[in-house]
Formats: sequence, structure tokens, C-alpha cells
Amino acid sequence: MIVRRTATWLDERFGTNTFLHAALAKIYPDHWSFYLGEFALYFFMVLVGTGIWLTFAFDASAQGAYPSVLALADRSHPIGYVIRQVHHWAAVCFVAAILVHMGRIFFSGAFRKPRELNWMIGVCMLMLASFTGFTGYSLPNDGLSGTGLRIAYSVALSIPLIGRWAAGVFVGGDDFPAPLLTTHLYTLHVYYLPVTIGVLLALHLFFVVYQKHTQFVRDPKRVVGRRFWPDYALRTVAALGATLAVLALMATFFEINPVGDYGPYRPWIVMNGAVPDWYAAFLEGALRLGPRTEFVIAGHPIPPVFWPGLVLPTLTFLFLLAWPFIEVRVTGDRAAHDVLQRPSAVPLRVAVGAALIFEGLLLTIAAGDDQTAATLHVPLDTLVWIYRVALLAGPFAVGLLAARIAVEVHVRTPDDGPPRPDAVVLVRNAAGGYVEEEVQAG
Amino acid sequence: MLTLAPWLLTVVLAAAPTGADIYATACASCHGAQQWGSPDGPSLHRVGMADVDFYLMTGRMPAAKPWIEVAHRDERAGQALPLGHIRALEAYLAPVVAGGPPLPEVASGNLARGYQVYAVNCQQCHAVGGNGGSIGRADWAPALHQATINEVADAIRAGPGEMPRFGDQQFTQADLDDVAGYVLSMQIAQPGSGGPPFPSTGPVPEGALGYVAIIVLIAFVFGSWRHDRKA
Repeated sequence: MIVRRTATWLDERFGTNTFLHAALAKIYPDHWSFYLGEFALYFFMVLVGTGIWLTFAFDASAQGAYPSVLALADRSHPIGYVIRQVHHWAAVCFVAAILVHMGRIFFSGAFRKPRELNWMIGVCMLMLASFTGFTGYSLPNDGLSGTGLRIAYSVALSIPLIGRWAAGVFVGGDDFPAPLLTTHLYTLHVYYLPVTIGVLLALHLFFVVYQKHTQFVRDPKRVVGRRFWPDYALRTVAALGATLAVLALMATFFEINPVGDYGPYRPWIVMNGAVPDWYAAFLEGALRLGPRTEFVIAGHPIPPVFWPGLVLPTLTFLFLLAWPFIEVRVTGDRAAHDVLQRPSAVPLRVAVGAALIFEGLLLTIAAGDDQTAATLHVPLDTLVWIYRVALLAGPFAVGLLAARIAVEVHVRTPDDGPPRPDAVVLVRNAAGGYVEEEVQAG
Repeated sequence: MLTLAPWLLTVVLAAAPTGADIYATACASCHGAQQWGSPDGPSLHRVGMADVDFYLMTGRMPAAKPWIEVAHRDERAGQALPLGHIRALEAYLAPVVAGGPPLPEVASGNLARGYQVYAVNCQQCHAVGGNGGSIGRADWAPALHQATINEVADAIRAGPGEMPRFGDQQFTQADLDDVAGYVLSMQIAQPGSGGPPFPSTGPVPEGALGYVAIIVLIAFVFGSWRHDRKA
């Protein structure tokens, strides 16, 4: 009743009914893997919501940041600590969800023409999300994150020619820690980065709707799936509920980032086993495995951290960004595609994807190489060399193996791909009304 | 395990073995009959009672293997010799080891100051929360979760293995009391101010749990989707 009256009220002023009819009846392809992007979206929404709450409690100055975060544990903020835990857990899960979603897009070929731009927007959002997380956990100005910031500062310093200027821009001063560093991080983390992600996200979703979601069903002319209302809408609300439930459980039972233990950041205090949050850990691993060689190019010495700390992530980012075009170049497939592929259909993609995942995993694990060495009772030097060899030879071995497996799997699957899921068809009955029929499409 | 042999030996010995007996049975084969050492173990002359007490009380000595890795990340298994035997051994060795750091007196001190001392002097090796960690090529700073306050004080004054020696010039008695008390306080699970019951052990396990959450969510949507298709 209320809904109808609201709809009428809006329609009389904005003419929304035509839009609503189309929107509510719109067909969304149905596959479990299509919910991965939604998980990322819901984590982002939780981050924004809890983040807004936290801005009322946080003191964005170098001196006041740490005490204000500790104060969340006081009685004066009854749920402050839980909100902070939810926020940090959501950040950890957010980047993980993006990566898994990106994997689905990659291996199913959803990035192919005409969706290359959307893929690039997604890759940009992954980078922005990681950077937002990094600035976020550096805000409390605690011992652990301060160590990471110092490393980032040193990597920025290592840029040839413009290093000192770039590092100065990053920290807002001539040296580390600069007085304005926390304030800079705050404006980045609370304003510039989330707004950019939000705008890109809106574009990302708009393109999905406008270009229509890809589907596994081999029907290039029709979209086969479920209607938005009530099928898809309720399902996506269930996904939101699952996300919130998982976050609530994690924040309630598992502590994350205990800044009270790390103490405030003091440049002369270090701690064994300091690593960044997992999504930045691949950089830490790269730094630990990188060679000590200092090259001198045209009279300019290049600090060794430049290559693993900056060149590697930049090249990776550019490679990911350009992948749709690289694949077109290699496979020669310039056609537009709205139908998804089974991953095994393109062994090259499986090989490259597997190699990238292997490298990423290896570098992430290498970030904790000292803890691994201690646990396994292996000398650290030995472990570093094992990782280095694996880093150089591993992607080829893994890629070849993955391609081989893909070829074998593809040979053994029937040509017409997965069976089509149920379609919902409107059928006019004898009385003249319309009923929905679930049709088991062949 | 490694400590089984000395146990057996000491049990086989007479009801109340003297320090000399224990030394001859459990120590002399590596440290030499006159404590001057051998190719298998260092000299004990002037090493200090703090050193001896640390190795004996933590069970790192008697060691079954010569030059065994004694500074290990793992918690040691506990004292290998019964307390009475350790005291007898210490009494026997007292004239030999005199000249090095003596057995320290310690009592729990100011925790806030202890935290400051720990952060500046200990955290680089023993990590936040006393979790220990790697300290180089093949050495590890052990976790401190089961150390007694006397073991902590012994280690600080004696500097066993790769650990530096913090003598009177580095730590006053007050510093020693403070930091030893703080180390012990880390072992007590702090009831958080409404904090979660499972404490964090660092960003590495946190990241792993994040992926567990993603897997749980994937299982949820996959299971629901399969259920829908079958319905």
C-alpha cells in the first residue's frame, strides 16, 4: 500500500513508472560466481558506513591519532572497538573479494570486447582499494604501520631524479615523519580515495547494466536468468546478509590490528616480525627477495629498493590493465563476446592467470619469510634463495602445467558447455492472465 | 627426547647424588672434567651463575648433542634435571663460574616503564607480545610465553647465545625489575575492554582469516545456487 503510493507520488513528479517497470523486470544472468563482485560491493559499503562512524572518533593529528584510537576501547565509546574491528576486517576482506572477483572475470573471459574498459576500471579500483587500506591502517600512527610508512617513504625516495620531491609530497614535509603526515593520510583515506573508488564503482556498475551482464548460457541474443524482482533482489539481499553476518562474527571473536600492543610510532623502535596487511605483503616479499645490487645509470645511483618496490608493482598493474588487448593480440580473437567461456577453453589465459597467482602468492608468503624460517627450522638465507629460484622459475613451470591441465580438461568436456539453467517464461493462460513458468531449457 | 638420557642417568644414580656426580654424568663429556671445555662444548670458567642457571632451568642443558642450537624460537621443554640436582650442580660449579654475571635478584616492577624498556631493547628480536622470531641467518629469538621471571632475569644479565648481555651499565636493578615484570605480564591474557576473545597474532594470520571469510561466503552462494537449480 505504502509502496504503491510512494511509486505513484514519484511517478507524478518524475515519471518513474516506466523506468521501474523495466528495472524490476530486468533479467539478470544467474551463476554463483556472479555474486563475487557483490561481496566486494557490500564490503565497500560496510567500510564507508563504519568509516563515517569512525571519523567522529578519530583525531587526525600526528599527536592525537594514536590516543584517539585507543580511546575507542574506553567505556565512553560502547561499541567503538567493535566498529573499528569491523572496519579493519572489512578492509581485509574487501581486497580479497576484489581479487577473487577479478579472477572470475579473468578466467571466464568477461573482460573481452566490448567490456575492456570496465575491466580497466576494475583493475584501477583494486589498486585504489589496496592504497586506501594502506593509508587507513597507517592512520593510528602506531609502531607497526609507522614502520611500513617508513619503508614506503624510502621506496619513494628511491625514484630516480624526482625521488626526494615525490617522497616529500607523499609525507607532506622534508623528512620522515613529517608533522602533516597523519593529516595527509587522513584526507587521502577519508576523501580522495573513497570518492574516486565510488565514482569508478558507479561507472563500473552502470557499464554492467548498460552493456548487460555476461552469461554462461550460450545464447548471444537473449539474456537468460532471473528477474530482478523478486528473484534477484532477494538473493542479493541474502548475499548482503551473509556478508554482514560474517563480518559481525569476525569482529566479535577475532581481534585484528591490536594497536595497543604495538605502541605509538617512534622512529627508534622496531619490532621483529613486522609485516604489512596482506594486500600490501607482496611488496614486502618483493623487497625481501630483491637483490642488493645498486645500479648506477648515467651517474645516478638507483637504490636497490626501487626495482622490487616500485617497478615491479607498476609493471604488474600495467600488465593487468592491458591484458584484454594483449590477449586479443595473441589469440587474434577480435570479435565481441557476451557469452562467457569455461576457463579451460583458453589455455593461454589459464597459464598466465595461474602464473600470476603463483607469483602473487609466493611474494605474499615471502613477506613472512623470517617467521616461516623460524617455524620450519630452516636458515633464513636458505629460504630466501629457495624463494628466489621459485620466483624466477615457478611461473613458467606453473603456467605450463596449468595450460596442460586446461587442454586436457577441455578435451574431455562436451562441446556445448554447461547445461542451461532454468529460464523463467511468461505464459498466457486460458483466462487471459499471465503466469510464470519455469522452463527446463535444453 | 633429547633430555631423556640425562633423566635416565640421574635416576640410575644414587639417591642423593652430589653436584660432582651430576656434573660427571651429565656435563663432563662436553664441558670437560675440569670445566675447561672440549671440542664439543665451551669452557665454563667465569661464565657467571646467571648463565648456568638460565641454561639449566630452561632445560637447554644438559644437551644431548654437542653445540646444539640453544637459542631457539620454540619454547624449551622445561627443565631437564630435577630442581634439587640443579641446585647441587650450581653449588658445585659456583667457584668455577664465579667472575661472570651472578644470579640476579628480581621482582616484578613498574609495568608501564617495563613496556618502554622492552620496546627499545627487546622487541627487535623477541617481537611484540614476546612472540619471538628470526634474528638472522640461522638463529632465532625464542618466544617468551613460558619464561619464569628468574629465567628472564638470568637471560638479561647473562646474554646467552646470540642475545646481548645487559649488565649493570645497561640495565639498573629497577630496569631489570620493570622489564622482567612486563615480560611476565605479556603471558597473562589481558581481558580486553570488550575486546574479542581471540587475540591477533599479526597481519599474516589476519590475512589468512580474511580469505577464510571469502571462502565461507563463496560456499554460501554456491550452495544456495546449486540448491536453487535443483529445486
